Amino acid sequence: MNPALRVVEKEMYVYFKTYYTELTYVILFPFLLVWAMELGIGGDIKIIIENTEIPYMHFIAPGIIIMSVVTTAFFNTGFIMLFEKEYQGSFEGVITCPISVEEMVLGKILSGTIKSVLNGSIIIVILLLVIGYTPPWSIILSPLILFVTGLFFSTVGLMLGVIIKRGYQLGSIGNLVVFPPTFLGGIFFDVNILPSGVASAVKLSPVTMMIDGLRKLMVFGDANIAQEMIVCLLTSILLYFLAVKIFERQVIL
Amino acid sequence: MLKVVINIQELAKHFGEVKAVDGVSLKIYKGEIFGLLGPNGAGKTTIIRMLCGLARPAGGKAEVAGFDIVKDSVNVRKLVGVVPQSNVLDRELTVGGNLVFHAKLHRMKKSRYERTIESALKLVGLQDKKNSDPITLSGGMKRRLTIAKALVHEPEVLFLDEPTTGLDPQSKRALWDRIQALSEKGITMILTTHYMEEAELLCDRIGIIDKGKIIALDSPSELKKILKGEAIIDVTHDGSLSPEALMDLEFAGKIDPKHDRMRIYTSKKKEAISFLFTNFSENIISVDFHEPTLEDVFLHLTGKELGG
Repeated sequence: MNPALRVVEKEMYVYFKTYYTELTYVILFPFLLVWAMELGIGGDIKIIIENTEIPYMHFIAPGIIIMSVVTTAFFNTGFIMLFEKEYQGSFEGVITCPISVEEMVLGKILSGTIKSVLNGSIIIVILLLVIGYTPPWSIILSPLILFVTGLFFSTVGLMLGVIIKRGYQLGSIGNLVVFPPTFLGGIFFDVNILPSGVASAVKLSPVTMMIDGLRKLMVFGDANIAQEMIVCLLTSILLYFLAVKIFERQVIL
Repeated sequence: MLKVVINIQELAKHFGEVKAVDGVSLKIYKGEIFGLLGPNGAGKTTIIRMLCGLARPAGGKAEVAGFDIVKDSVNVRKLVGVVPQSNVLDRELTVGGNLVFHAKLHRMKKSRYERTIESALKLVGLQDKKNSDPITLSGGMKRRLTIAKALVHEPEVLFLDEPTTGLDPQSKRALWDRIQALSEKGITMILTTHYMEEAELLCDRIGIIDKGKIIALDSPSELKKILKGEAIIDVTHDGSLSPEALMDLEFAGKIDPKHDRMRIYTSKKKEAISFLFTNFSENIISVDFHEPTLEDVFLHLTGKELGG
């Protein structure tokens, strides 16, 4: 088996070994968010998107799911990298094995991606139960969007985990990387209400496309997510090559 | 004819203005335990890191088992085992889990790694700890586990970077026995150390390294001949004795003053001691003399104490 898959195998073993912490997160996160939103703005508010009236809780659900996938992918990959490199030292044990930089980077990114897709999928199920609605059939394609989202943010997390030397720095920079793009990307509102220049820029962001893509699948029953998939995949591939370069410069001194 | 396993030619590594490794050339032969002896920052670890592909040379070249360390670093890492200065254990995995993960990264088949893991654990005396968490192990056990990890894939070459640093004397001695056992199996080893006794006991040849350069290279017994015929007198005094007072005297070879101590290299031990007591008995607190050791050779060559 390719060493990259061995890295994935080991990461998944550790993930399932400590799954109770993940399970707490994936169950509590959607519950608390939906509860807070309902307390704040009421559960029966509706929003009109493209002449269609939909319950606001249905509208924000895809954004909440994307946000959880983004945080899992980014922080899990970033902190594991940082911890193994700066604190535990086990990273040096891995790179003295016959594994190339490309394989190492791929293994770490795929691990973060799979974990985030798993967490995201469970959150989808729980959120549907909590909100209580029957989604369109196209929801079965949602793991595809979760996958490209996880891929993108695992890569970003890995890059920062390689560069950054201290945990608190990764936390604060991570908040900057994760939250403004997801909030601006239309978790809570339709990006078309932004000033036209800002809206055009925000629509080019892969994060906006991830949220839009999942919303199409979960809310509008629209399975045409090719554009979102292609943009997110291509940007993730470009980021992968950048991550390999960063890895080489930072690790092989 | 001895087979060259590691061939280093004019290897160099710079960190900014600092020349960490400055044109080192070496040939290390199959089955040899080669010691790199030097103070902190001399370049020992940097050489090892370059040889196993963890650092990029600034100049020169090196081959391990015929593979170029830059162009074929993945192939080099298939053949080498590395025991870094700090332990490289994954605390999420058990003792056995750490070794299995390492074996899998080396693409080993289960039947093979089950055998080699048992053998490595037995060699380091941890066979009853296979299912333990690494965090429950003592410092010496963790070190031994790191060595076991480096052995699981049956490497041809083993890099041991200060393997006994921080260990108690008993663990240190046990580890020396295990290193000797590995040598008997024909594994080529490069050992970096601060400890003269360790180098003298284990190494077939020693390269003394200082400021990134190899300044002497030979077997321990040959290195000691650098100070052949000389005795070493260590004088502890009240601070009033200056090297100038002894410098012009016939018996004094080299004199190394250090605070309230003075080391005199001389071929005329009796005359020197007699002179010291006759003229400086008021100033002298103690006098100690001995035949040259490897440490004396090191001090003579570098002017520095190891570990400093």
